[in-house]
Amino acid sequence: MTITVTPDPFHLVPYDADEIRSIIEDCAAQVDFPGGIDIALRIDEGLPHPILGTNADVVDGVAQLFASGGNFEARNKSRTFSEVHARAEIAHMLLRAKDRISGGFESAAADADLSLGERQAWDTYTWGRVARLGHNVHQQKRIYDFRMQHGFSDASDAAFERLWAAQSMTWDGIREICAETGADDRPMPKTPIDLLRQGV
Amino acid sequence: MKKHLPEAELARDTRFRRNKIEDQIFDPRNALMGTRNLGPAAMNYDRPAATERSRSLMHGIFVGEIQALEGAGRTCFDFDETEAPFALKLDMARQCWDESRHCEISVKLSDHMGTDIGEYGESTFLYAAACNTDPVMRLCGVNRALEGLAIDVFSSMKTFGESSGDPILTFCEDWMLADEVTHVKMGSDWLRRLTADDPERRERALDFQRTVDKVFSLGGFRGEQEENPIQITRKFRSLAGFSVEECDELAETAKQAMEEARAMIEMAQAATAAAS
Repeated sequence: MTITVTPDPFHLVPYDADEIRSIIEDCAAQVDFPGGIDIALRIDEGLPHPILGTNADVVDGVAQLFASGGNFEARNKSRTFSEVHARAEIAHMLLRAKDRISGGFESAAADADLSLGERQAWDTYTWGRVARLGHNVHQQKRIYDFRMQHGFSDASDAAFERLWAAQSMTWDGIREICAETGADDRPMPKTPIDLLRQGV
Repeated sequence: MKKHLPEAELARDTRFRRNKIEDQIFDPRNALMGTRNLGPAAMNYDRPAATERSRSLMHGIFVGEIQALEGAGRTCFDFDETEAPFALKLDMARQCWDESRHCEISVKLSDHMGTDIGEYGESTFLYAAACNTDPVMRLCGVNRALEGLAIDVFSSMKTFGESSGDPILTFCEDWMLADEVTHVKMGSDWLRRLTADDPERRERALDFQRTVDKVFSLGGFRGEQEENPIQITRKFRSLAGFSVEECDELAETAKQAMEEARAMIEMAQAATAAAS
């Protein structure tokens, strides 16, 4: 397995590509990431907190991961690397990439083609697993994020609980939940879901 | 007890961390951000990172409420009754009560949105505006400029709550908004009363207000165009004693601040290109 991190070196934030590579190795072992799949993480160091966003696609046998620099940044100290956040975010991206390879999400659309509701439901299922792996995950943040796309209702909260606690899930399961909460009825956003990844 | 407490001496527990203004100003990412397409500026559920942006703003509102409480409390104490009449202090005491309630509402809202106290850094430039040694300047800087900004922020957050279907956010922002209109009106009324016989002092105070307004319109944060995340709210400002001309002037100030920010970005880009 080859792991690449770009940029290397960083110019706008004092992040260390070697340190990030080492975290990816740790997290890949922890989530039992398939050995034959290379991992390429691109970090947009120009994006600060709170402009957060990640993507995880698998293209030609390579897990193509993307993260805003803000996802790895300490929340209360500008431009400072947060290992705690980086570990949680990397575990999250790796689990989603693994889902695409052999985790019941083989037929899922690429990140650019997901609806906000689908992405949020998948994220919730993933954050629940990341939390159970022992990483820093703020459950109330994740509930609020979920409600934002699936509604502020009891039905939405029940769907959240199911996703969060799920030991396994499939792409069809995600689609069912989106239909159940009404997230499917929302219009697609005017901006692409992977707008941050598209760069300038 | 010490009068005219400087911002460096504000009491905070270990959860809070102070942002350094120079860290924000000299962040090398600033120049790039102006060139990025981050989608529509207005807060909406389909914006990239909508929830984290709103959480971060909510925490900023929370620390702003603490500082507004400290500022109004200071105005009750810092001046004798020749400088600040008892009735003004009574208004400031009422504002302290409101701000305390806003702090509690903000903490509950932050819980609801998934934020911990002190999770994000605190900037103290709101309190800095409340350090002026002239009570009229203080009222203009805090009650008219910053509480006026609060009207715009709460109104924008309320709209965000409505568009995302969040009833808790919508109601809380609406309740706080009503108080802010009262606070701004107090500022407008006392400005008129304290400077009735001193037009020069009034003009100096309004100049200070313009300066504060410009600082808080920086980079296009506030304005009347789609690209401004916080919208100037003329309806509530008129209820709070702002004339149409004053609203026009504020809109122009915000527009100028945005144009200056654009010019600075272009200069920074040119400098980066020349260096590479």
